[in-house]
Amino acid sequence: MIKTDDLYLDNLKEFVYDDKKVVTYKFLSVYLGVHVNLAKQMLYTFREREKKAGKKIYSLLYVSGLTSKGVGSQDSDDSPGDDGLIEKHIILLCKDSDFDAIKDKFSKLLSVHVYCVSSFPIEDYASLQSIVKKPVEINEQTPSDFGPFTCNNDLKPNNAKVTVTTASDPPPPKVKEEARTESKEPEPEASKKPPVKVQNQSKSKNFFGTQSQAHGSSGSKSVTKKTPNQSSIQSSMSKMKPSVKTEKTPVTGGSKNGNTTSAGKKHQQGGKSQQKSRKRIRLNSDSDSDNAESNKIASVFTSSEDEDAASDDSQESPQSKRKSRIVSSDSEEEIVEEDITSPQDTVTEESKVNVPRKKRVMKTIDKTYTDDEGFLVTKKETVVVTDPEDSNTEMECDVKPEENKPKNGTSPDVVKSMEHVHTSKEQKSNGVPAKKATGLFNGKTTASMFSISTSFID
Amino acid sequence: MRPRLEERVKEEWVPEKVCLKKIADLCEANKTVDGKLGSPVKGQKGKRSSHEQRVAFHEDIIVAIIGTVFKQQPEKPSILLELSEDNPMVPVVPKQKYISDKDYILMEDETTRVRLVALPGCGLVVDEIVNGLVCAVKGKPTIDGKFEVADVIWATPKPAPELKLKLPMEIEMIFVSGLMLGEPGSEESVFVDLLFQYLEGLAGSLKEQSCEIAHQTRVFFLGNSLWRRSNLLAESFSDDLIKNAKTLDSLLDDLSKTMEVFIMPGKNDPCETMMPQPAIHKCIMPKSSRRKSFHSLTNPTRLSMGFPAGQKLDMILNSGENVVDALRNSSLTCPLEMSRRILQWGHLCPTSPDTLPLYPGCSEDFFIINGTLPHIFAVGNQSKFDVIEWNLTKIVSVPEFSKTYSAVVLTKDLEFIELNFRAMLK
Repeated sequence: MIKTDDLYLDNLKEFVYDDKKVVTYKFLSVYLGVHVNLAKQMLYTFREREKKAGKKIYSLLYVSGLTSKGVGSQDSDDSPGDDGLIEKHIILLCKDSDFDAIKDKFSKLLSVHVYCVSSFPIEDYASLQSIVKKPVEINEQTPSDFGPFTCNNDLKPNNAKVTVTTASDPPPPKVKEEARTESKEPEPEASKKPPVKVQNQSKSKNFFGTQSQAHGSSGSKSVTKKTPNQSSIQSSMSKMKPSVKTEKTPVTGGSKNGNTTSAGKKHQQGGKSQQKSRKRIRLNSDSDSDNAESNKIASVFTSSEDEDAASDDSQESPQSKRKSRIVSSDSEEEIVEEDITSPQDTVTEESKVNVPRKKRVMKTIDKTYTDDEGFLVTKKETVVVTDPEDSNTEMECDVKPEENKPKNGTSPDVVKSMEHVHTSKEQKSNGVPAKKATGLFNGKTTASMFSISTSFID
Repeated sequence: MRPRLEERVKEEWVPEKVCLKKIADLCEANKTVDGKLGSPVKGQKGKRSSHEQRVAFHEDIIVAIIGTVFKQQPEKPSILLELSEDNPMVPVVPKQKYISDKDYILMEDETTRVRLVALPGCGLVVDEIVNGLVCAVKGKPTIDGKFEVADVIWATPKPAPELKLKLPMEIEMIFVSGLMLGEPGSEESVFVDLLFQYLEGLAGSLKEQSCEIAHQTRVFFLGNSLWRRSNLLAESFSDDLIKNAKTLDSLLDDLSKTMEVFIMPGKNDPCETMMPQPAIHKCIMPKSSRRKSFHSLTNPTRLSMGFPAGQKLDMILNSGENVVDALRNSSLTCPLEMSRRILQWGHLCPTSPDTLPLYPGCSEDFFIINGTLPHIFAVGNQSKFDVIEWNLTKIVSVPEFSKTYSAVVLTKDLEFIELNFRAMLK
């Protein structure tokens, strides 16, 4: 591992001397794909080495500490009323050379580490600004991916009625702590795979307020382990001596566990890279036939009233429609973590998702027929057979018939509301469903807007 | 608010044999003997509710009336005055304060209004109160048709329930406001970056990370997170704003990976500017809105934050415009004091729709503080950090980040600490 360390340091050298860059620990961390704490150490080691070697190296230090009086007598912003009893937490960026003078002003120093190094002295904000203005992002990874913390940051289901005002079911706060404990420990096995498994049934339920769960109850079911490629870090991690928090909330994750496991397979979401997981799912589906993909997508959305979730008619311009479907479903895909309770039978406006995750086998049947007005209608029926209930009934989802003639674009079709499954069956002969549903949709959004707007304060 | 006031009046004043009346009931008692008049304790006084404002003077008659206080302020900018002016080309200088010596107060209830004269020591100081407050006043009508106020009761909500929290808590929360992302000037971005680094837990030594930052799991952005050149509608779709919104979105997205983020709109944010402001829409924050740890709040918001072990912390958060506006209409200068008054008055935006734009057509008044007082009342976008405790409520003024580079941390001991970012650079 020493070799890797050397390698990293060489890299650093290049940056500092050859490129004349100001290298912050964040940048280094993302560039090299290492944990931020390691990056800080690297900067420190580098600085020491160069100093010993007699080279001119400048650095900015990050100093964090408590102070009972305003730090930095240079700053005249302390109000005269500051009687010295008020404790402030100051986070300071100071130059190497100034550190000694400043550290006495703190009543309690919390941390000091190297913020950045450079081969030229940094005197003003402008030089820093150029670095910090553009957020560091390489390969879609940001410094927080290499940070020590993570939390349950699943994507929301799309139909989340965000009535956040009454956060009476507050999100479990323990998640972050837990996650931190976990992620800090060097986990060799985790280094092989990107982090996995973020389910939080209970949390999503809390969020929807469908359960009267005790807040803070047993936090999340699983812990997002955010461990970026740690293979190189393992050795160095041992230096770090992470402090492990002993408290871990029991992994209960609510009572709807049955559904989670199957979902777990499907939705392997890492803390980072939702794209990754998305791609993973896509990959899976790509390997199957078109039908299968549509099945998969459909299975995500299944519910009795969900009729547009299933794939498009494969007979007509599948590509364009599927693409649009993918786009829309992508965002909705990861949604589902179930939310079991939201009733399958009742129609909620945006209820595209909220599907219990049960093992399903979907069969797609194509039915083509000519309707009254002469439109050639192809209807794809996907029948879902679920494990526990082997019924075809509830899970049957019908797709709105795609009309061959008028290609009104995909969006109205996609967006149709589900509730008129039955009515639309009767009306499939006219183009009316399209308009009607969209009208409904519009109406619904306004209704939902009102509902949000009126829940300001309770 | 009337029922609440009536209750309180009954509690406090009725024992003193004070009668609660509508102003119109104080009609001229020519003979009006309805039996009660004779007694010196209860009685009806009056003035005609139409245009004559004569009040029959009766000593020892003490009445209570409930209504809205209307403060007539000649200095208040009025569009009508501006239009009627002969010289419309005079540039209007925005005034700091809308008060003057010529202010006087009226009380208006469902029936009519009466001019109030505040006796010294009654609790109704003309300079300090603002327009639009609902209260009950006790006093008696004067000879010239006004009403002398001897005492006043505000519709103060009951004090917050005792927080039976086991300290230290396990969670710390951070309040930031006035981020003003995208403000031109090179210093800002350095500090914003530093802030986000701190929040994400990237910065700090291992020890600090595990001890301190690990517990900071919630961050609240109270308004004005984006910078806008001006609030004019025409500029609302400027490229700048879009760019800044994108930046903010990616920053928050990143942040949401590590902690819970609550964001509330402010005056500058791309959101409806009229109070109460709805939550920032998903479209503006597409990336962050996807995450469960990201929550978009309305302004103002009342939250009930849960903690492990079943404790709940009741908080009211707002982005500060109501306080700033109320300060303009009052002689008070301290925002914290004004916030305290706001709680005392029981109404979050007393000056709207007068000087603070209010969304029309709301069927109910959302700003009334119902129930009990919150445990925490956080007001954003103020000039500096300060905290007081009143009636078991902690009132904290969160300073504007873009000016002070400070945020506020609610520590485990439920104390507020200022978190100040500095850099020793030019």
